[in-house]
Amino acid sequence: MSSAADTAAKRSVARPSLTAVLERLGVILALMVLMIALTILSPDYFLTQANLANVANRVAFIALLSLGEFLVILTAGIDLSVGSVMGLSLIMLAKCTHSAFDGYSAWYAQSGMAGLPAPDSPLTLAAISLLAIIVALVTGWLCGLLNGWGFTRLRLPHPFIMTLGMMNIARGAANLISGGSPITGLPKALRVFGAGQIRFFPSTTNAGLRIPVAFIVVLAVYLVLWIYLTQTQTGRHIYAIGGNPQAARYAGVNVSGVLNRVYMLSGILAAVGAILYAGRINSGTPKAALAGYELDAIAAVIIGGASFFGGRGTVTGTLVGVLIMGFIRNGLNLLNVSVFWQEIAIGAIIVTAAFIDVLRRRAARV
Amino acid sequence: MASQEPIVRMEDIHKSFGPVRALQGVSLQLQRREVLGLVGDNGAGKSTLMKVLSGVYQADQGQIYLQGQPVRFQSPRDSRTAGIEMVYQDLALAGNLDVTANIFLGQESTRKRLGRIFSFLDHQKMAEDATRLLERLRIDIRSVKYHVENLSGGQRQAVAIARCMGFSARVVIMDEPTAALAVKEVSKVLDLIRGLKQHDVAVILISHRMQDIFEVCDRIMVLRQGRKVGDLPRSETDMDRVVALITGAQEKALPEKEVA
Repeated sequence: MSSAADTAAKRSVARPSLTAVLERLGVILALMVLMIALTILSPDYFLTQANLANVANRVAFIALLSLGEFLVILTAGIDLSVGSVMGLSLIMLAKCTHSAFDGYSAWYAQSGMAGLPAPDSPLTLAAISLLAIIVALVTGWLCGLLNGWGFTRLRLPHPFIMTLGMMNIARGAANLISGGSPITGLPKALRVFGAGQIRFFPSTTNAGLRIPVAFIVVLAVYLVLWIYLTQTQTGRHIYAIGGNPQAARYAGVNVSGVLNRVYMLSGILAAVGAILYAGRINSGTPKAALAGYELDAIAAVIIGGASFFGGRGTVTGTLVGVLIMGFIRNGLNLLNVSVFWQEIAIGAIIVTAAFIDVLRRRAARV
Repeated sequence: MASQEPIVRMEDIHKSFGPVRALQGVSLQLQRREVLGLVGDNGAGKSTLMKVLSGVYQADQGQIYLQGQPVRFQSPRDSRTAGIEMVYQDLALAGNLDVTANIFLGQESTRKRLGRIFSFLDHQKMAEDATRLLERLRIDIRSVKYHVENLSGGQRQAVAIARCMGFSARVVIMDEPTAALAVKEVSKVLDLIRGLKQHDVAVILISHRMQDIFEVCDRIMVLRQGRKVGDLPRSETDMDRVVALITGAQEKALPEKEVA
C-alpha cells in the first residue's frame, strides 16, 4: 500500500472514533457535569431521595413522549401531535373512568342482583381502570395510525403537516369531550402508575429507597424500545430509512409500512404518558393537550444527540436528554432562579445540541 | 446446448415514453462470466435498456430470456429474485449504518429467541458473513463495523457491489461505477469487476470512460438513438472505432448474422 493510501486509511479509522466519542459519551458527560455542579451548588437538597424522586416523577411522562418523538425523528420526520395526543388520551382515560363508574353504579342500584361487586369495591375499580387504560391506548394508537396514513397514503408533503393537523384536532377533541374543564378523581388502581412508589430495603429506622413506579415504567418501556431498535429487523429498517430512504426502498424494505408503525408507536407511547400524567395529578385536564409538551419532547430528543436529519441517535441518549432538561429546571428551581431564565437556559442548550450535530455531520462529510 | 445458452438474452426490445422512442428493437446477449460494456451518448437508451432488464420499466414489445427461459419482470424485486442485481449510480447505501448492515439491508439474518416467538438480528452471523464476503472479493476495508459515510468513494462502490454478491447474483449491472471516484480508486473497482468473473458472475458495465471499458470488458455494445449500432469483441476493435460508432461517424458494426 502506498503511503498516500496509508494516510487515507488512517484518516478513515480516526474519524469514526471521534464521532463515536461525541455520539456515545457527549450527552452522558454533560449530564454528569450538570449533576456534579448541582450537587455542589445545592448541597443540602439536590442529592436527596425526595428531590430525585420528584424529578423522576415530573419527567416520566415527558420521557415517554420524547421516546415516541425520537422514533419519528429517527426516520427524519417530526410528530407535532405527541403532546396533544397525550392530552386527548388523558381526557379519554378520565372520561371513560367516570362514565364507566357512573354507568355501573346506576345499573348496580337498579338491577338488585345478588353477588355483584359494589361499584366502589377494589375489583370494580380495577376493572374500570383496566378498561380506561385500554381506551387511552387505543386513542393514542388511532391518532398515530392517522398520522402515519396522512404521510404514507395521502402523501402529504411532510409529516409536519399531518401532525400539525392532528395536534389541532386532538386539542379540539380533548376540549369537546371534557367540556373544557378537568375531570377530577381517579381510582387508586389507575393512579398507582403515576403516583405510586416502590420501597426497596425498608427497615425500622429507615424508610428505604423509594423509587417512583412511573420511573420504573419509563425504564421498562425504554428497555423494550432499545431492544426493538437495536435487535430487530424493523428497528434496523427505521435507522436505514432515516439514513437513506431511497436505499431502503431499493433494498426491498417496506418503507411505508415501517413509517406507519413508527407513528403508531409514537401515538401509543403518548397514551402511556397520559396514564402516568393522570396518576400524578389525579385528574384528566384538557390543559395538558394545550401545554405544548411536544416541544419539550423535541427538545429532549435533540439535546439527547439525535439528528434532525434522521438516522442518528440512541434510546439512551434520549433518556439522558430528558434528564438533562429535568435537572436543569429542577436545579434552577433549587437555586431560586426565575422560570423565565430556565426557558432561556433550555433554549440555549437546544441550540448548542443542534450545533454539535452540525459539527458531527461536517466531520463525517469532509 | 444448455451451457452455450447465454445467461441473458433480450430480443427486440421496444420502449417509448409518450412520443419519445427510447428503445427501438434492441437485442442484447450476455454470456456467463462475460463483462459486457454498454456505451453510447446521453439519451442513447443505455439506462432505459438496463431498467427494463432490472424490472424498473416494462418493455412495450420484446422478450427477455434468462438461461433460455422466457421471463417477465414486473418490479425490481422480480429481477432480483432471478439473480439480477443493479448497482445504482447514486449508490443505494445508508451512510449512517455500518458495512454489515448495508450489505444485509432488507435481508437481515435473524434468530428466534424467547420461546421462538420473537426474531432478533443475528449480529454475529451477519458480521462474519460480511467479513468473509469482503475477503472473498478482496475488498480492502479493515472492519465491517465502519459506518459507510466514513468510507472513501471507492470503498462505498465496493460495498455496493459486495451487497449484490451477498445475494448470490448471477448478473450484476453497474451504472457508471467509476464516475465519482478518484483516479487511484478507479483501478480498485475495475479489479473488483474483473474479480467477479471468478465468482461466475456476468457483468454489464455502463460507462462514459472509454479507458475503463477497454480495460475490463470482453465485448462492447454501442447504442445510438435507441438502436444497437455496434457489438464487437474488445480484441477486434479500438477506442477510435467505438467513439466513431457512438457519435455516428461510422454507421454500424454488428456481427454478420445481425446485419440482415
